Amino acid sequence: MSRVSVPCHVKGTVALQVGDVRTSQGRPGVLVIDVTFPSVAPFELQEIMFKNYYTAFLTIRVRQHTSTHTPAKWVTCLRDYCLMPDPHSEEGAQEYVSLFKHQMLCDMGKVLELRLILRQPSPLWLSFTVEELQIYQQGPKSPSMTFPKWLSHPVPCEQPAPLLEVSPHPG
Amino acid sequence: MLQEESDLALIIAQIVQKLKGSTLYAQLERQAWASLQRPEIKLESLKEDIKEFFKISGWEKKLQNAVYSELNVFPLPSHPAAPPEHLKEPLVYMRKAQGSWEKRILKSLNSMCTELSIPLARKRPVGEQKELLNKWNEMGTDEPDLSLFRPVYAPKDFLEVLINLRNPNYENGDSHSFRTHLGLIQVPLKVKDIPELKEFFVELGLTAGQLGIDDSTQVPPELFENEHVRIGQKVLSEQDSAAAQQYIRQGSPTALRAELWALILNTSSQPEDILYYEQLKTNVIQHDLLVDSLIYKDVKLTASNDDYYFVFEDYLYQVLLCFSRDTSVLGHFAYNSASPPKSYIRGKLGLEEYAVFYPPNGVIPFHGFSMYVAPLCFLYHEPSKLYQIFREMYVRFFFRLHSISSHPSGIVSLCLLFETLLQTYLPQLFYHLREIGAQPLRISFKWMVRAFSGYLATDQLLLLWDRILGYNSLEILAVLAAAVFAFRAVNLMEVTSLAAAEAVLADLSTLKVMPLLQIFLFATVT
Repeated sequence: MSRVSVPCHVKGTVALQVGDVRTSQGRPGVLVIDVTFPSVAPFELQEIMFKNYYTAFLTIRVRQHTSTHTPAKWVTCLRDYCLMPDPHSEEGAQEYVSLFKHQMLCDMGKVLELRLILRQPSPLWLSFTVEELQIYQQGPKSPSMTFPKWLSHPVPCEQPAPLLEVSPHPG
Repeated sequence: MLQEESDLALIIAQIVQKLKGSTLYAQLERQAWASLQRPEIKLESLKEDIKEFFKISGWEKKLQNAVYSELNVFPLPSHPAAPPEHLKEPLVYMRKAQGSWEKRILKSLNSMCTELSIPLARKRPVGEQKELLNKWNEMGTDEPDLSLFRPVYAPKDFLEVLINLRNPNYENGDSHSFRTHLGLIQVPLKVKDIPELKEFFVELGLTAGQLGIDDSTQVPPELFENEHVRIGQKVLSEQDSAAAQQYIRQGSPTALRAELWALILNTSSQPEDILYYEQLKTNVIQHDLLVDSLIYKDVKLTASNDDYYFVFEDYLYQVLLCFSRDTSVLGHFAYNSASPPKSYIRGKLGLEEYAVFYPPNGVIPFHGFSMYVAPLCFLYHEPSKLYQIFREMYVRFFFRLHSISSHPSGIVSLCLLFETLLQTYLPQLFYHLREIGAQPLRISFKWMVRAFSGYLATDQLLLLWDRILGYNSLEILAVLAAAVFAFRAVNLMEVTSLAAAEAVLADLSTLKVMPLLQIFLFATVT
């Protein structure tokens, strides 16, 4: 089925760290990326695609539009999805990844905002993020074509009448 | 589940597309048309009857072998958004390193070219063509002046490049910390440890029979050898690639080896293949390439000096000269991190329509390249067959030994696997060698780059290459290198310099490969 890219605004990554970012020695192991859709109405999410850059685990939270007047709440739709089987080695570190709506824990019917929580527990890497983030919603269904009947139901060819066995004349 | 189904559909579509262009497809079509004459093919059940016919006549087996070969050789289709470079090599810094290494090689080749004022390629005059055609079977007697030629690079130059490989996103502090590796390779690739290797190489275990161990004179043949040979003959009569690959993990009987390798590599002996080889031979006769001189020099320096392989000198020229001109080899660059060197027709620099690959097959030979072909000469005597087998072995395995990539069978991973195994299971030996300035990789690198060709006795080498084919992986080279160090550990603990360590490990020709591997993997107390 076709898909249509949804223009999104990716806010800068925010590192979550205990203490002062500037003075402490260690590097943050958790980053948060907010993705908003300023010019688009709440839509049904089909696919999230990105290129990994040394992120080990990915959690996604979504805020959906509600019909009632209650304020929209954040719901976790993907928990600790593993991108790198061994966070200390290069496997999966720079792979292209697609996540589909059937992999999500909740219904993605009316998405307002997404929050990507990236985790990289290994201290070996200098930085980690996800790149080339793209969000897709379901495209318009291709117009159903009605094939002419003779194309979809070919008439079985007529069997030729069985020929009488003629044996070659001897000699 | 949905994702797996669509992945499978994608793989099937990719294989069908690849096979559609092959001669097998044309042959199957012809057979299907011809089968319509047969009485058992009925119009109502045409599809099933033709499928049944293919099954009985053995064509389905050929198709199965072709599909199995595609699955083994080509990587799985990657994400649709991934560009083709990503398929060659997913890690960006390795692609860059390979690119700069290739630039260096090309610069070296071009400077040799201008120094000696020899063109990269020239058409031979008719007289020279006739002479070469007459001398085709004895090119070894030719003694051209090759003193000014030097190999473009040697394995130790390549080792220096690998030692300096760094991931820019990796903590490469100047001070030694838990992050710096103790060996020479400093990139954190995923390598298997011994429990994983034990699982991977389960058929080499102590409870399974092995050729190379259980066929020695003390062991009565009824225990293992006779049955193994019988199964091998059955596999060959069934012509099943997958079964042959599984069978050869326990070694191949000498009499069956040539056919088994041809079956696993899915090579055919159709007239078209012999014609293709003859065409390549014509190309060699008509044009002279600079790389030809490099090949001559390499053969004279390496194979001709080897006690086992000097008799095959003429065969080596016949195979390698044709190999340089075979453009079908360019296909493997889709999954090789390397790219073929491109050059432009004089005066048309930068214009894509005037770009040519040099050499035509995109592979520049290095010092020791001819050793990849030499052991095969023991198995195949017909030049076109020998050529096909070598070409298949190269585009499946050998190319990984001299290009920078993160593949588990790539040379970087093999080096890291070797160093990790040695550090983990022989820490005292590793520490001692490091302290005396004899990093173990400096000694074992040349073994792995040549897949041990020229270092082991030929029968042992062929037993090792049986396992490379059986497991479709080169990791066994790293395991064997570590096993050799483990075997000579007592002597190595007493040396005090790199030269002495090299001397201890200089002669591997008396080693028996399979017992070493079995002891290291399955019988060492950790």
